[in-house]
Amino acid sequence: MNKRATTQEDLKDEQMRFVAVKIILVATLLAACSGSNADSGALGDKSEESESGHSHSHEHAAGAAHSLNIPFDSELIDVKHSVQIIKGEVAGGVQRVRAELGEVVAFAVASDAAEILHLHGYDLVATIEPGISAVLVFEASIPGLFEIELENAGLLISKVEIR
Amino acid sequence: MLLAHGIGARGDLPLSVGTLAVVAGVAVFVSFAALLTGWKEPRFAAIAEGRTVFAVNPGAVIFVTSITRTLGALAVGVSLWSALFVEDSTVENIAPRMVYVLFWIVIPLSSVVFGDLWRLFSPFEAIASLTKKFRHARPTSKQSGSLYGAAFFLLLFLWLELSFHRPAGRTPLAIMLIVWVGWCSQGAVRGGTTWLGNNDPLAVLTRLMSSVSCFTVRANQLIVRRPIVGLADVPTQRGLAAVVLVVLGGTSFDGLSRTDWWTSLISGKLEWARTFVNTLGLLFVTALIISLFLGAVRMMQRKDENEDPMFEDGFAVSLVPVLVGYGIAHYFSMAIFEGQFLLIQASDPFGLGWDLFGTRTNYVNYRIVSSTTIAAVQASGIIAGHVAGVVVGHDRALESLKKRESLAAQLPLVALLVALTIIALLLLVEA
Repeated sequence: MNKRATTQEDLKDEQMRFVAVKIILVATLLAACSGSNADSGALGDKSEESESGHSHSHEHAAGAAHSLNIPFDSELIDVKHSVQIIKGEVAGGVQRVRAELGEVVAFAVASDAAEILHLHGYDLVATIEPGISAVLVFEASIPGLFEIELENAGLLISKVEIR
Repeated sequence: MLLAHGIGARGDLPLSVGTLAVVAGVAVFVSFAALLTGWKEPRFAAIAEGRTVFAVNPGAVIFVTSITRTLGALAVGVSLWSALFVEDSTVENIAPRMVYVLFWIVIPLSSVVFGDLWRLFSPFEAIASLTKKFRHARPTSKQSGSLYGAAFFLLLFLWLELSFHRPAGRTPLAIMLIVWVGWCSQGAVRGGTTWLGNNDPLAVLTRLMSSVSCFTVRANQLIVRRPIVGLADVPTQRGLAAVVLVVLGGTSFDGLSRTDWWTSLISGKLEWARTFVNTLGLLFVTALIISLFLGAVRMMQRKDENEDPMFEDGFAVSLVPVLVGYGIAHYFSMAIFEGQFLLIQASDPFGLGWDLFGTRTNYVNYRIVSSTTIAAVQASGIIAGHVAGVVVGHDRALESLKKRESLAAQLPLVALLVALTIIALLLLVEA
């Protein structure tokens, strides 16, 4: 019981920190596509990917034209969706995020371990470190169902349903 | 809908409950209407003959097939080479998309429209013709072959795709490709084209799915016939039911694994723990589909006091259109989106920076078909598959039941088809 309570506390702490954390801006892969393979660092270390045995695609997919690469201002964008990763699990289970076409979606992730966050289809990636959350900010311009994953662990964090 | 849970960036939106109601309603209505107003004599076998559009010059056949089968050999060869030697990543390595998109989706689904494409492109068919001289002509007919081997390999493949935690990894793909190529090559040498038609899992699947097509080739003649009637020509073989049920089970489990319920069940389970749960899921769903089918068919058989040992294999034919409908509903959008990705990768198949077709820097256009179109295709695929299943089942019943005039004997089959359609729809709504 005790241990569980502490985790809950941690969670709240983590949530509070969302406001203040340094925001890692979404990196897009457009550069990676047009440039040489060496540029594809945006998706993280390729060899790391292979080792984890969970490889992912879509560098060529979508294209970054859809991502919102603006200087992040928490006053301007309402981060409606946030998730914590604790010990390799999504706290509170995997939730579905629903958004309307054209809406600006902001999805924040905090994790107790360093990871790479990947929104499929839109191909947005961001790095997370303990204490440093990442926020994926994008305009919901493609309809469909898209997964947000922790790239290295291959952990599904959320499904984004855009219609 | 991450097919292979590593490929497929854009999933389909769930079907609306309204669509579900309409499709299910139409399905139930058509089923009983067909039963009550249906014809009283089997008709398909007579019209399955079709008519010859033109007879093809044997020389031209050799010319065309040598080109297509070389292309097929290239496709298999490139996949195998990539699976063995190119970096283990679904961006750099073309093998995952070749296997899960080209071989597994594009070829069978295109064959539904154009006729059996794998027979045209299969490099194993080339091996079979090249070694023909050295084989003793054995009087084997298609009917004599069992399809259980093909069903077993299809189940293994579905397990790799849907249950194994690294379906798109190059090592599992390399093993799969080596086993497939080895199995089919030795069989092609020993048993020729007849063996391939019964034992190459892809050939069996494509042959079945292409039987609904308007086109077929018979003895160097291009034949045109009405859609679906070709199913009457599918020989009743041992294991036919197993093949159809294994693939139906796999597709259904694919649907189930896309639901939020399954997602949360396996969330946090990584590596072999995930494989374990997904294996149980695949086996459970397949067992469920098999028992629904066997339950219905055995009930028919009892009511009919029929002792045909291949009774269920005969009726499995009526599930082939359902299989086609499921396939279209589940994989149409994937063929469109991931097919584009395959074209991009084809320009640089070994990740060496080539740009063979000038497509290397292209992007996948996720708006090439709208969500409405996809939903419409899904709903129509399910309805068409269901209606065709009922019609074919009715025709088959007239052919093989002793008490042909008894509608009650056909009821279990109709109920089965309705149940399968409702399951498929529910899974698409929960996607």
